[in-house]
Amino acid sequence: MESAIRTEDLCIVYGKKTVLQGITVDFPKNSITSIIGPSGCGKTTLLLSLDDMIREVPDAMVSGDVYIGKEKTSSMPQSELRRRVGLVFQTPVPFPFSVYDNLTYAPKYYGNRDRKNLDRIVREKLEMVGLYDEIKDDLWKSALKFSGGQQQRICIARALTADPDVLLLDEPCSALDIKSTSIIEETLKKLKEKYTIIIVTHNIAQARRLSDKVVFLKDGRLIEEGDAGTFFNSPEHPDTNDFLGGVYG
Amino acid sequence: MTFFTMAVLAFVIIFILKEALPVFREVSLIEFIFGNEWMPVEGIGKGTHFGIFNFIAATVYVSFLAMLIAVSVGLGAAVYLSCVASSRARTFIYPFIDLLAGIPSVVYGFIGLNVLVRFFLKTGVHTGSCVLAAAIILSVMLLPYLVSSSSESLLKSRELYLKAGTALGVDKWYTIASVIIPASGKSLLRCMILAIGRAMGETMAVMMVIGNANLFPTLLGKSESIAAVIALEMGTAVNGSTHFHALYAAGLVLIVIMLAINFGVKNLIKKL
Repeated sequence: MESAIRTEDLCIVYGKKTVLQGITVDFPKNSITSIIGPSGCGKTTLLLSLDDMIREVPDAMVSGDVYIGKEKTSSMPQSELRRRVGLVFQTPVPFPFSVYDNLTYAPKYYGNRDRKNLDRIVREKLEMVGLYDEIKDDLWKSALKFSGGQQQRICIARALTADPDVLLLDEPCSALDIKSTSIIEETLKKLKEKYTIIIVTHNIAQARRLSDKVVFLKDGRLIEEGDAGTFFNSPEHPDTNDFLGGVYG
Repeated sequence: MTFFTMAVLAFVIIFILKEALPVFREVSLIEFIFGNEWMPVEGIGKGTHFGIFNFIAATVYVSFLAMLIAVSVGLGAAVYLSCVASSRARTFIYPFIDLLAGIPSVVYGFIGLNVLVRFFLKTGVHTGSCVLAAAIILSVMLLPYLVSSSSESLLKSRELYLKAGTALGVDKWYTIASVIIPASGKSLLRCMILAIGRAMGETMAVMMVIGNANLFPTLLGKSESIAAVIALEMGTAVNGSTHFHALYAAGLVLIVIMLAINFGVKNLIKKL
């Protein structure tokens, strides 16, 4: 399967602490890859290194490379990289504006000021996250007034307004209830037809439900990776087996 | 605690009302507020006059001018501290800001006299004392309040929204201007209310540089604030005289202006 984004010998150090060591992994196009592993294993660090957000962390030192297709991300302008790789955080962070203004924020920044075009983007992205029919009459209401699940879908839609190729999600459902989680999972399954999705999750069951591919990290090292079926049914590494069996977590 | 605060506020207002109201037996409210002659002692061939319009105008003029200067500089400093400076730099700078807030106003007055008034004298302003000098010195006094409280709220907004903006590929300064500052708007307005209350009530530093003349305020002209006239004349006013009650009434007007601004801005915040 063609890879949308891949890392090569990626090492990340925070001050004196090595968080990721020699990670070489690829993330296939139009699929959902879950990054799993015990707390502190470097899941979020790996995710943040894919769109270079890791450089926003003070004291972070990065070596190794990340490629989008054949292009090294280190040679791309940061704004271009972040336009092509969208990121959704663990806690939904809608801007304190209306839903409409949230969704037109990035397009306006990138020079799109045509009202009809902006209306189309808002509708299209909200439809993609299955939210348009629910909130079409409340587009001018503050995004902060919606439920947690709806806010997270607004944030996913906002990330999509920059027209990314890859969508990164850092534990997007950890603060949500079961119903909202299931709606977001269904949304992600639909979105993978158009986007490459990489999700960090603590929830093994969620990784099992969603993933096409799984990347398992422990202590900053890549222990095992592979297609979800093989990974969950017949893991090769004893550490993976222990993790899936709940020996540690 | 709330009850105690309300009780103290009620006590202050009742006390000032009791001391202020007798003046209106001799001077009408309209004449007191809109009159511009202030002659507490009878002159040759002239009676007493108690009109505080110039003092009200000077108080409002100096305070708003000081706010304008302080907000422009203070917001810049707060944005720097919250969005640009490292946490190490913040830890280093904050104690100095707190120190600025702790300097007695008479010291600011001295600096105003020795630096600003001299400067304005050299530039041709008669005697050097003027409304602009008072506004500048007052703005320096307001800065620590504005910077420390507004940088706190900006820091909270920055922690929430800067990453979200950066993740969209949006320039840091665009996010600061379009999300972080507007998101802190209500808190910034609240900081301004506190600062304007302090500005209107500030006596010593303003009194030392404003020139203390009962004139309608102009940028480079002398004038006199309500707080200054009360401080200058209370010691010489005969207890129970009209002059004495008029000074209390001037204080009451100051409280009413401050409360009006407070309620006005709070209503504005609710509507935002």
